[in-house]
Amino acid sequence: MTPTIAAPQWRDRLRDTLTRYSSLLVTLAFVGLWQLVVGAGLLHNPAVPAPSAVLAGLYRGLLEGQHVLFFATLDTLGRLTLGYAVAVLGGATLGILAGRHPDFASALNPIVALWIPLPAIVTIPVLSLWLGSGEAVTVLTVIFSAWIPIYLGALQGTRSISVQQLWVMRAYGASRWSELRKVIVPGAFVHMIPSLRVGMGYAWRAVIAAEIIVEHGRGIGITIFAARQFFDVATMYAGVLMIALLGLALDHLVFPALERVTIKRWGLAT
Amino acid sequence: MSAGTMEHEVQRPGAAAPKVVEARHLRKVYPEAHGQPPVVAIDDVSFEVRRREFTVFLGPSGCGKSTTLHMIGGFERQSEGSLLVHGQPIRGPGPDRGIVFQDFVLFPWRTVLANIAFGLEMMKRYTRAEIAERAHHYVEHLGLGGFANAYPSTLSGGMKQRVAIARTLATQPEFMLMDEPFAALDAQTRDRLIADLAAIASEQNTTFLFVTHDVREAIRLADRVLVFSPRPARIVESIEVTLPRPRDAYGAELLELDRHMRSLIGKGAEG
Amino acid sequence: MENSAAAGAIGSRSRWLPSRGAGIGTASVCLCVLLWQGLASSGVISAVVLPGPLDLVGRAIYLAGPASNPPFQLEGDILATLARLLGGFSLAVLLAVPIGIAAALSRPLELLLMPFVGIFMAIPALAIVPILMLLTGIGNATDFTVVVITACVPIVVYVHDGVRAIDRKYFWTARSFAAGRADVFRHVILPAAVVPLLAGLRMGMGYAWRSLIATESLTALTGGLGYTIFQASQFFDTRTIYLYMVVTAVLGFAIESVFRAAENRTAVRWGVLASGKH
Repeated sequence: MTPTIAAPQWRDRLRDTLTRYSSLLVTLAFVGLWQLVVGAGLLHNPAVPAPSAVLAGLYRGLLEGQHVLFFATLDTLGRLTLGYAVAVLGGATLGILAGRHPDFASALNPIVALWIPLPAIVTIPVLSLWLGSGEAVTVLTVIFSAWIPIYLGALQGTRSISVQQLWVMRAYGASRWSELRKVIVPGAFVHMIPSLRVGMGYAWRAVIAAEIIVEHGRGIGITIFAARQFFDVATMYAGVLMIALLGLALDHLVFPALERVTIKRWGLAT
Repeated sequence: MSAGTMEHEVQRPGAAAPKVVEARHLRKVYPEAHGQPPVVAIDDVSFEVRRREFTVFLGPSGCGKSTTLHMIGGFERQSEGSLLVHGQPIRGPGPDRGIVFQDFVLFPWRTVLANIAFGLEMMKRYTRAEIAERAHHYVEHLGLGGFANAYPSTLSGGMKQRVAIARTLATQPEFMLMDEPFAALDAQTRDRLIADLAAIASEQNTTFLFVTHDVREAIRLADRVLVFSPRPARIVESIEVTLPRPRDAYGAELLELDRHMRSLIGKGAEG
Repeated sequence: MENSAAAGAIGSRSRWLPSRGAGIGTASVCLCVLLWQGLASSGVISAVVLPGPLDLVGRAIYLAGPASNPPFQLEGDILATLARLLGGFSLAVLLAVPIGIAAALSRPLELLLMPFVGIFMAIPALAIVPILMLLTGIGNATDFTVVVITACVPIVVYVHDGVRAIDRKYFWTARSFAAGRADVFRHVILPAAVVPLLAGLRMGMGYAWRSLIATESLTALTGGLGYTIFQASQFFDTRTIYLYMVVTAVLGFAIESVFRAAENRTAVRWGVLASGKH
């Protein structure tokens, strides 16, 4: 006696699809509404451009003339990547060390605790003093911002590695180095992925903030701030849009892919 | 905690007791969702419960007996079939059907006393003094003396379940629905609570509906056991248990009943 | 903030660590301060580039007294920043808590509001400051707005997630006691939201603090910690810069500690985590 079930209605299917893409639909609806309001002249504020103007600005910046926005984006991403990479290497190393040597962690603890509430941007005057105005300041600001969550994640991750795993390796006569390589780093890494994400968020904020303040060379932050002098509102919004898109892409595409490649392949779950 | 005595004014259930719950050809289907195919939790379940009859739904894990209980409680609705309480269809949860869950569901922000008082507060029928008095009564009655002002996070599993039972008992519901209440407890605690529950059941005027996958638990507590098949659920057999209480001794009859029920639980798997 | 005194899985001697950890921490801070003072007074690094801790204390005394320009500048700046922070934060709480709860209870509202939360999460506060400066000008309004926006986002997220995480069995239990909708809201939803809310407040305060100081350095007209740091950098007044960095860090740490303490006390008493689970 096989149980019979009513076939799913097209109404349910529609509802499922709408729900899955709801974020996108809501955003598009909002933009459409915005366009209507500004286009129909209901809103006159010069600081609020129409979405069409913003998209035009984006197009101009990326594809026309000097491709200002395009190169600015490359430069920003370059600084971001460099700073982030150093922050990850430094933060992870310190974190693993601190996880293995509780005394070291205790010694670092007050420094980290006081570092967290300090906005990276406040270190810029001091860094400028030491290093002059230039790329080094911006990159260092990124490093100073991003290393904390990564350090904490590595610390936590290292501490949570089960002692048994290490004993097994030692029983097989593994050297300290391969112990490190095969158990500690992967084990800590798994726990670190959320911190890597958070660290990237901090790095992003830092690079934009630093660009706005330091005003050296090219960058998305610099483009936005410069556009303000010329009251080029469309470019300002285009810059913010660029940042939002990049940020979302990093968070929704890059990191999940990273998780898939590492955690799921290694068969670990948090 | 004393066992109930026979002089209590409530009568023991028997064939003459009125039917209070009637289920006819119940069917519950969970529709397709998130790429999962539809699930038939309950295929064709019919049964009756008489007043004050301690009824146990017995069956393997995940077979739909909890779902049946939820439907009687008014938390879920059947897809087909009729489910009547006192001849009326169920219109949602209500104070006549109290519920106790496996994971206690105590409010962590309320003390033991406040948890027990919760139902009484919601009924909006008693003064604060009356609520306090009743709550304290049940604190003592369920062996929670001294813990009235403790928060649930500090209690053991057994204590938490006592609080949950006290909370529901305090409102004196007509039905006590218990969804595998002792499954999360260790063996000794479970043992003690079964004995205590049996004592409570004998002195209360309440109809108990109890879900479990543990045959021994069923035998110790039930007047009637409804044996469920694995999912999709159907009632394989309805067994009346007339052994004298308390049923702690391992007599021949009890062991035979135990063996019989265990053999039934695996049955009915094929359509 | 990780308390490194918590015994780790590796090499733990748990009974000793609590006091040992704190001891080592204090020792390391003292060591750093001494090293710093040594570098400064020995003249290895010029006093302009790296003023020593004693220099900073002297500067603090001057700025906190009537002789500074404006008088009592240090206090004035701290108060200005705190005022902006508390004002904006209060508004953020008033807005974000109802939004978070509403989004958790109503699926249509959730689908409508949460995309915007996600967008604001992806945009660093400083990136919208130039636009804000056009809309709300230079001065307190922009600082205030930045605090509101940066604090709202985590509060909405934590409250929403916390209320969503409430197991339906709590609602079932309440309704089986004939609790009406108002009762369920008051006795189930609100209490369940408390610990997640406290966690959200802590996060919101952290973001708001950092964004505020940064924004002040660009937009403030009068007073504030961020403002003065950047004013000081124009004049190469390094002692003030360093002093204010220390003040910013310490003050931020103190505020975070207050929120963390409130969250932990409640969480421990109820046995509930910030995610709402227990």
